[in-house]
Amino acid sequence: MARTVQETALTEAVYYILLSLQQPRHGYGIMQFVQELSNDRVKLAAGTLYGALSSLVDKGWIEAIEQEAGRKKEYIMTNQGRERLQVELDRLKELVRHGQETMGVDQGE
Amino acid sequence: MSSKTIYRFYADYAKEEVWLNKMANNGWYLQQFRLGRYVFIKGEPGMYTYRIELLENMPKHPKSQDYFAFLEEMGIEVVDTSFRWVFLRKRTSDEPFHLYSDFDSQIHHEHRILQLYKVVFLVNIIAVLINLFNPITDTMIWFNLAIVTGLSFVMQRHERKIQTLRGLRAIAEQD
Repeated sequence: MARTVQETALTEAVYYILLSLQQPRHGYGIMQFVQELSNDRVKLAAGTLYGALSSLVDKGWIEAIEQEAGRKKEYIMTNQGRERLQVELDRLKELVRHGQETMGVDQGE
Repeated sequence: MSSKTIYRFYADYAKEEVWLNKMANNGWYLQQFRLGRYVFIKGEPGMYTYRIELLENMPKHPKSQDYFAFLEEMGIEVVDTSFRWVFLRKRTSDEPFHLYSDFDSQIHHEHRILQLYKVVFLVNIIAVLINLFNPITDTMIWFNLAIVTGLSFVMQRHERKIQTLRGLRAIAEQD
């Protein structure tokens, strides 16, 4: 089952949402975390964020945490999501490596 | 509290949104919408930014209700709903208010709207055909023809907008 995760590129929104959900967060918390982490560059708009969360729940990469009525809904990443995130991280590393190799930029620093 | 009612008809939601924000900049805030009837309430100019969205489900549907609760958490107010359309607003003192921050979600929304236009278009074409063979409802035919003509322009413009977005998406994820 775990091998069925596709190896296509994640959108930036999905990538950052997964990063933020290594611990439970609600919608506003995700938005704030992503904005801070990216130094104000990535600002997830409400509609985009909600759409991404819904499809990630459908895919089983994240799940909503049971909450008492009236509390803000929180989400957390599943093991399947974590696996997928790792695949993406490896893919991104490869992209950076290829860029550095062909553009002659020093490795490391 | 002073209020005013304006009757208008917009086929293009983007133009409607521009108008609502122009009204808000002048201190007139949309409070209620019913089929071409807009009720505004007077306040300090420029307090809110308005956005219009076409939902995937009717407003009473649990999925829409869940979405509204989510928006509320984000400081976004549901002003009114009409059919699957929802009028939203957010305080201008916060970050600039947009509903979508990447091309994919924007294209998805525009596509949903185009689908709705197509359904209305088709219904009116059928109405025209029915009226052609049924002379009793003769006058309605002009009304339906007007809608068909108007909609074909809006649909073309919309189609172009989606093409542009797809073109941008082919090289980047967001602007």
